Amino acid sequence: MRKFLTLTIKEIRELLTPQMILPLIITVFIFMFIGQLIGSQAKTTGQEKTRVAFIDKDRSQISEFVKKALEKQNFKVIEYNADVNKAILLERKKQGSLLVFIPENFSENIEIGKNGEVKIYIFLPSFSFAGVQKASKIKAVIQGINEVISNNLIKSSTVQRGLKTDFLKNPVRFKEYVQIGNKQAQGSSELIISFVSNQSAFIPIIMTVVIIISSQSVATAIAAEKENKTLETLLASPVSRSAIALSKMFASGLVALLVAIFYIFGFRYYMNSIMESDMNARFGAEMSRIIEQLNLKLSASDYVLLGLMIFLSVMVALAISIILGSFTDNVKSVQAVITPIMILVLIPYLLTLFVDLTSLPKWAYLLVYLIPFTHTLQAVQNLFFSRYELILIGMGYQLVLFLALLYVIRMMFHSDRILTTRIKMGKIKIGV
Amino acid sequence: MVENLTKSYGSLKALKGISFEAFRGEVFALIGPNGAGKTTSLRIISTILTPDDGDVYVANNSVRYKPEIVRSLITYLPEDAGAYKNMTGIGYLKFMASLYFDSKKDAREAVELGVEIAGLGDRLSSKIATYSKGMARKLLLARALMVRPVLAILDEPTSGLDVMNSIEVRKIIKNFARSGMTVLLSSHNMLEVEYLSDRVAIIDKGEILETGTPKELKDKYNASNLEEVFEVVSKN
Repeated sequence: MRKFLTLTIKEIRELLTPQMILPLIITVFIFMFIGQLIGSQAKTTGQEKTRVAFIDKDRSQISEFVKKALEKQNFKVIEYNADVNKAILLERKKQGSLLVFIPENFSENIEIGKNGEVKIYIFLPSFSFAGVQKASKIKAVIQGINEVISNNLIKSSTVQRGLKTDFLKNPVRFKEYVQIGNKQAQGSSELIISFVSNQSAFIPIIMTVVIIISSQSVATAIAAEKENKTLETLLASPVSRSAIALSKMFASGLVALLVAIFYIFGFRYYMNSIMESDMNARFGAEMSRIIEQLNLKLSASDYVLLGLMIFLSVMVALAISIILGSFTDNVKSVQAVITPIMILVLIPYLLTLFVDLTSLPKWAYLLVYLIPFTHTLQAVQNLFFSRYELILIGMGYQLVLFLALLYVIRMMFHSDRILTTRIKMGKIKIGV
Repeated sequence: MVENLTKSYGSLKALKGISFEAFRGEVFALIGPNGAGKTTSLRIISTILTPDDGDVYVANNSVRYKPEIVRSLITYLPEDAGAYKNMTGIGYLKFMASLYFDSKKDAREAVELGVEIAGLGDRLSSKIATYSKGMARKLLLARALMVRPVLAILDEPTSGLDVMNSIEVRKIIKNFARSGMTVLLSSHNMLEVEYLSDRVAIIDKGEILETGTPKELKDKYNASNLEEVFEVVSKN
């Protein structure tokens, strides 16, 4: 037993190296940072009054009651006398995201035992779940209104008139409309966001896996060459230094491409199976209508753009990995040196899951968009919203960054740095 | 020809202006203790490191200004170097030959010579991962010599090898030097150097302390071998 303990302690000491602990600590800080960012946004959303456009064509006590209930729930109600489309246009210019429309005969319908219908229009700026929070809040208000009216109806003599229980429980019904760009469709915003998330979930997963695998392989290749001193042999041979670096990148890129193809194939199969068995069974027809009306389909050219974005991201990651891999002289340290790449993928991935990036504070927004992988993670949304200019800006940024990194690699391979620079626990050491 | 080479790593001065010359067809050895500056000198001569000051000329080509030409004239065997473990021995020789020669015929001839130098027989078809240290070293030496360089730079060529393998490697080097190639090697094994070298330079703390043939140095310091010479020189 004593020997077993001694061995176990030795193994733990071997495993718990500074190279292993440092990335863990950094990861904890990253999670704290992201959590704080999401939390502060949620707090702001909770404290700030949410703007809601309100069109009341009924002008009754009940419609007035709906308006007051919204105001009571911290909504800033902006009343319009215009028609719906004009109001939507004006609201979108003012960065509004919600419109509640109460049609004529709303209260009259309720009084004669028919459902009063409220139309809710939601203008989605992105497919993050933060976007539907506001809509959910309105739906909760309507539900509250329903309860109040329902209680009044039950108390009143209308009960004796033989009204249906279903009506008495939900005298007010709402219809939800989703606005994406200039296209509008009736349907649940939650359903659309779930659909788009499911459709685009494979992009960040594939990108993350491909980036990590290829980064690891190229950094390991460099570290192994340094460790075995085969790099010295290559550097002293009549081969251009750029060719040595680029051949590693190219080979890793090819391996990454192969991995990506396998993942895309596997993931599409997985997603299609889920869609066919689950989503389509429940919402198939409705979803097809919504997809058609909102044009939530990627064309062949969209897929080409997406592929190019992923390719550029992988190349940027490979270039960073070559630089980071050059800072280590043994394979064991590779995991530690490529941690920054994983963090750079993790930050935008987690943020885009929960937050609409445009709602971040300006400094955080700029910081997140400085990360090249953010542009690729946002690519599917931008394609759905037909924001091609953002796609092109993202591609341009990644291309410029890639060329700058290539220049750095070239400089490193043409200087002593490739052999003499090492990172030891955060310190850069120069020597042999 | 090495002229006034200096090199620092941060505050550490690895070379403090060393100069020496190795002539065509001779075996020239840099001898000195660990950390004396041998490897740094060889790395600069093989164009891997850039000197802070001074220059090196290989067949009149400066390592500073014409490193591409110098690389086509030299081969470098680093101390404790490895090879690509997933390659076979013969695959490795072919791969390295293809880096030196554009013509397939020249590359094939180099590989044939490499096979002869390595003397590994059928084992050349095995993966390098299965080689012993001695076999791997012979393969690497074959790789360095098969391209018939103007200058072969060998850093501690027998480091870590057993007696029999060391003797074999020394024989290969000696035979090759006779064919007109210049060999520049470093070692802290004084007996090996005495056996192999035509001339030696004693280096310590980044400075050349003495240069001459082993006989000249032994006579000058009235010593029976180079070890004794080194002991006296480094104390002075």
